[in-house]
Amino acid sequence: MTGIETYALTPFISLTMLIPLAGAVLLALVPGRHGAAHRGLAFVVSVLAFACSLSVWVNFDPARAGFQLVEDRAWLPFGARYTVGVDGISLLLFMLTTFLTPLAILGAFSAIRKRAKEFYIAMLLLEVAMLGTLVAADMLLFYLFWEFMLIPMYLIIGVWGGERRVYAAVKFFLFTFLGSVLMLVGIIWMHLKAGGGSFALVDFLKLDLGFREQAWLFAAFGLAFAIKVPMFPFHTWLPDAHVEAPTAGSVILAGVLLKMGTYGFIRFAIPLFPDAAGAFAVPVMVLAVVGIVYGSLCSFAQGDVKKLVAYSSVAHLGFVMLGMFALTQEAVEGAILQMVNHGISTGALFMLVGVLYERRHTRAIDAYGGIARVMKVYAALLVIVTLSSIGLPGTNGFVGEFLILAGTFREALSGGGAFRAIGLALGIAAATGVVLGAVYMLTMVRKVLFGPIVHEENRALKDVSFREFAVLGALVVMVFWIGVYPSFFLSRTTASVRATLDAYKGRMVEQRTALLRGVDARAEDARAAPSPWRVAAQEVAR
Amino acid sequence: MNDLLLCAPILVAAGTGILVMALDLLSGRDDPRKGFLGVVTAAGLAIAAVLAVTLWPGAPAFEMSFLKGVLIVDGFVAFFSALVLATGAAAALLAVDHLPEQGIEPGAFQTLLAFSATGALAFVAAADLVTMFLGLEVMSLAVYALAASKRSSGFATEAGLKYFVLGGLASAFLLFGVAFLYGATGSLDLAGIAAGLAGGASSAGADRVLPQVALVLLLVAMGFKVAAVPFHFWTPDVYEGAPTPVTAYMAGAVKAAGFAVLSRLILTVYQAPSWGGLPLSPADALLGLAVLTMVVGNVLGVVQDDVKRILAYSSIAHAGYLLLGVWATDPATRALNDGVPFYLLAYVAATVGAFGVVSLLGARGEEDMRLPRLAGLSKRHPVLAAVLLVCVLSLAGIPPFGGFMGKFNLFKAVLAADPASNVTWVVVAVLNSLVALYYYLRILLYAYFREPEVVSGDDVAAAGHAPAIRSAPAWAAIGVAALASLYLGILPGRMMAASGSAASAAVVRPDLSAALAAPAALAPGKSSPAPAPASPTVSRRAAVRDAGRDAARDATRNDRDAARNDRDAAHSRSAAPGTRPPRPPRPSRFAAPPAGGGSGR
Repeated sequence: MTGIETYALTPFISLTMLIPLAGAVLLALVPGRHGAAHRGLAFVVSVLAFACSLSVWVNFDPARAGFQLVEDRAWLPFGARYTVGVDGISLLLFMLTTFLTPLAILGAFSAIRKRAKEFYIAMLLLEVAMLGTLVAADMLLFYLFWEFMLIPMYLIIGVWGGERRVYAAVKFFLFTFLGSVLMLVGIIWMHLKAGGGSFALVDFLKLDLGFREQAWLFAAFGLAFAIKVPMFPFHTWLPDAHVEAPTAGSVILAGVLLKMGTYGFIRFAIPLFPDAAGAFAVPVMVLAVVGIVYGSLCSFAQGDVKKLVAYSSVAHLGFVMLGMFALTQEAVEGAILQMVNHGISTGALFMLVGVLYERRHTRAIDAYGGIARVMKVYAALLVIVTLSSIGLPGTNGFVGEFLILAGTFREALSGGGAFRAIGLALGIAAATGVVLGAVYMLTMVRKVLFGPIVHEENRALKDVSFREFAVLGALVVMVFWIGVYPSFFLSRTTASVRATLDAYKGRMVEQRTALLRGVDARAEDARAAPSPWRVAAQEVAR
Repeated sequence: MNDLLLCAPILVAAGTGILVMALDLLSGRDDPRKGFLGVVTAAGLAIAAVLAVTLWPGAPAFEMSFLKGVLIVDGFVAFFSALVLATGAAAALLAVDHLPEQGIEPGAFQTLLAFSATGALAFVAAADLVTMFLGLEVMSLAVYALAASKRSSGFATEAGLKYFVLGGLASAFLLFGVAFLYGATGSLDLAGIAAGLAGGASSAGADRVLPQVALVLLLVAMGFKVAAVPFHFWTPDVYEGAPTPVTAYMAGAVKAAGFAVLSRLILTVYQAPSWGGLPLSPADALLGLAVLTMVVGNVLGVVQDDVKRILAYSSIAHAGYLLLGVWATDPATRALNDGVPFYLLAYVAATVGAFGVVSLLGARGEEDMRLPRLAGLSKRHPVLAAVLLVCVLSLAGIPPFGGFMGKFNLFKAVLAADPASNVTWVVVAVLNSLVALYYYLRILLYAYFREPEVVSGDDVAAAGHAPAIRSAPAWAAIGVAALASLYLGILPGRMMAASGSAASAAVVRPDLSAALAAPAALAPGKSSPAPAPASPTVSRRAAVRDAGRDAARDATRNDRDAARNDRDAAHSRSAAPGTRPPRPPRPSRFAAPPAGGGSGR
C-alpha cells in the first residue's frame, strides 16, 4: 500500500454510490401501493449502479499498487476528509457488491410481499453503505459507513426475517457493535497520535507505533473485524442472522458483509500494525483452521439447509483468514479471490435454498428428497454451485482454495523452526477441511436431490422460473469464468498485494519468529537433553 | 440603547410570555383555536434564539452599571441560550395539539413555557450567583407547574409534586453553596470568587474548608438539575408523569441550561485544571459522578418497559457522558472541552425528536407509554416510525446521525486532553454505549418488528391502536429534529466550529490573559519540584497550573477589589476577538519528544 496514485477525472466511485442513494430517496417518494413499481425501480437502479461500477473496473490500472480514481474533498473541520478510491484489494469486492445487489433484489421479487417499498429502500441503502466501506480511504469515513451498514441489515433481518428474527436481529446488531466501538477508540487514538490533523489512512500508515501500542490497537481493530468475519469464537451470531434473514438478506450478508471483516484485516489491521499482526499471526491462523474444521463439522450435523450453508461460511472464511496471514503472494491473492468466490457460491446457495423455501416453506433437509426428477434445471444448478463451493477444479472455488493452500505450504516450508511444523500442520488440517466440505455438501445434495421422492407434495414442485434462472445463471457464469480464467481477476490484485507484502511482510515475519523463539528454544533443549523416557527405559533395562 | 439591544433576546422571550397571556385572555374561554397560542410562543422563542445567536457572540460589554456584573453575554451564553430557546419552541409546537387531547389548558401552559425559557436565559447568562439563583428559580418554578399541568392525572400531579419538593431541596443546596462561597471570598460574582479562591488556595487550612463545602453543595444542586446519579431519583418518575412536551423541554432545555451553568461554575470558580488545590478535587468528584451516572443510567435503562422511562434513563446516561466531557478540561487552553456543546446539541435534537414522537402517540388522554403500545408503529405511521428510528439511533450514537458525531467528538476531546490516562474512561464510556444500544434497540424492535396484539372493543386504544395525533406544528417540530440529527451527523462542520468557539468562551476568568501572557512564570517550577523531563505530560500540566496560580495570586495581591474592574476588562476582551490572547494551538500530547513518548503507552 503506497498511498494515492491517481485522482479521478470523473467521480465514478461517488456516482456508483450516489445512484443507489438517489434511488432510495426516489423510492421513498413513490406512494406505497405500487408494489411492482417499487421492485422494478429498485432493480433498475441497482443495475445502473452496476453499469456505473463497470467504468471503475475499466479505468482501473492493474499496474499500480496504490489507491486509484481517488476523490478527495474537505468534509469535517478537524481533518476528516471525504476520500474514496479503489486499489487491487478493494476493486474485486467493490464489483462483487454492485454485481450481487441487483441479483439479490431480483431474487426477492416474489419472496418479499409485505412492505416491499421499505425493503428495497433498505437494500439500496445497504449497498451504499457497503460500497462506502470498501472505498473509504479516510478512517472516519470508513467507520461511518461501517457502522451505518448495521442499520439496514438490522431492519432487513428484523422486519422480513423468519420466526426468530427479532432475536437474531438484536444479536447481530449488538455483537457487531461491540467490536466496532473499541475500534472507534483506536481510530481516535491514532488520530491524536498523528498530530490531530488527519484521519487519512495514508497518514496513519506513516505512524511509528510501539509494539505494546500496536498490540492494543490490533486487538481493538481485530475484534471488530473478527466478529464480522466471523472467526471461530466470535461466530455465534452468524447462524442466527443467516437463518433468520430473508433470502436477499442472507445473500448480501454472506456475499458481502462478512467480507468486510476479512477486508478490514488486509486493508487496516495488517498494514497499520504489522508488528502486532505478525505476533498474532500464528494464533490467528490457528483460529482460522479451527474455524474451518469446526464449521465443517457443524455443517455436517445440520438438518436445516440454510443453517448448513451458514456454518459452511464459517469454514470458507477460515480459508480466507488462513491465506491472508500466510503472507505469500499467492496465498493473499487467493484469499482475496476466495472472498469473491464465497460471495458468488454462497450467494447462489442461499438463492437456491430460497427457491425451495418459497415453494415448500420449510428448510429441513428431510422434507425433500428426489426432487431432481421434478426440478431438473434446479438440480443442475444446485450441483454446479455445490461443486464450486467444495472447490472442484474448473470452478472458482478450486482456484481460491488451491492458491491459499499452496501459499500456506510454501510459507511453512520456507520458514524455519517451529513455524515450519506449525504451518505444515495447519495446511494439512485445512486441506482436510476441503474434504470435510465435500462430505457435508455432497451429503446434503444427495439427500435433497436424489433418491426416491418420499413426500408426495414434492411431486408437484415447479422448476425454476425464468427470473430465478436469470439470477442463478448469472452466478453460474461467474463460477466458470473465475474457475477457467482466474487471471483476468487475479491480475487486478497482484500489484497491490505485492506492494503490501513488500512493505510489511518482513516486519511481520520477524515478530512471528520472535514469538515462536521460545518454542524453538524449548525444542532445542529437548533435543540436547536426553529424553526422560529413554532414561527411564534404560533404568528399567538395567 | 446598546444595553437594550443586548437584552433583546431575554426581553423578547419574556414579552412572548406576556403576549401569550394577553392573547389567552382576549380569546374566548373555550375557543377551539387556542392552538395558535403555541405557535405564537414558538415564534417568539425562535425569534429570541435568532437574536441571541446574532447579537451575543462577540457582544460589547453592558454600559449601564446596573447590568454590569449581573449578566454576561458571549459566545458561550449565545450557544446555550439558542439551544434552550429552540427546545422551548419545539416543546410549544409539540404541545399545540397535545394539550387539547390531554385536557390541559393551553393559555397557562404556553405562558409558563415562555417564562421558563426566560428564566433559563437568565440562569445561563448570569454573571453573579444571585442572578443565577433567580434565573434557576424562574425556570424551575414554571417547570414545576408545567409538570403538574394535567390536573386530571394522578401521575402528573405526583410528578409535579416530586419535582417541586426535590427541586426546592436542590435550590436550597445551591443557595447554601452560594453562601459558603460568599463567606470564603466576600464576593458574589463569578470572576471575583475565582480570584478570591485562587488567592486562598495558597494559604493552607481553614480557608479551604468553605470552598470545599461549597463545591459539594453546588455539585449536588447542579447534579439534581442535570439528573446525575445519585441525584437522579426524580427523573424517571417526573419524565414519565409529566405531559410529554414538558418532558421534552425538561430533558432538553433544562439539562442544557444545567450543563451550561455547571461548566461555567466549575471551570470559572474552581479553575480547571488546577482546581484550587482542594482536598476533594472537583475533577475527582466530576469523574466519579460521570462514571456512576453513565453506568447506573444505562444499566437501569435496560430493565425499563416504558418508552418515557427508557428515554429518561437514556437522558441520565447522556448526562454521564457529558460530565465526562466537562471533567476532561483541555489543560492547554483551560477552557471547556469543545466536544461538550456539540454533544448537547446533538443530544437535544434527538431527545426532542424522540419525545415528540411519543407525545404524538398520546392521543385521547392516553399517556401510558409501555413498549407494546409502539407495536406496529412502522405500519400505522411509517413517517413517525422513521423519525423515531433516526432519533433513537442518534441517541445510541450510530452513524450517520448527530449522536455519533457528538460521541465521537466528545471522546476525541476527552482523549486529547490526556491520552494515556483518559483512555480508560473513554473505553468505559464506549462500553456503556453498547449497553445503551440494547434498550434503544428495544424501542425500535417494538416499533418495527412487533405486530400489535389483536384485541377487541374498548381495549383498542390501550393496545396501541389509537391513532397518532394529527398536528402540523408537532410534525414540523419532529421533522426539524430528525433532519437536524441527520445534518449533524453528515455535515457537522459548522456546528462543531460553533461548539468550539462557545467552549473557548466558557470560562469567565480575568486572570487568564495574565497567565497566558506571562511565560516567565513557566520557567522556575515554584511549588512543585521540577518534574523529570521523561514525563512531559506531567510537567506541562504542572507548569500550566503554576502559571495560573501565580498569576491569580498576583492579581489578588495587587487589589482584590479591583477584580470588578478586571471583569469589565474581560468583557471587552471577549467582545473584540482581536484583543483576546490568541488561543494557543492545541499541543498534541503525542508530539512530545520520543524519550517521553514512553509515558503515553
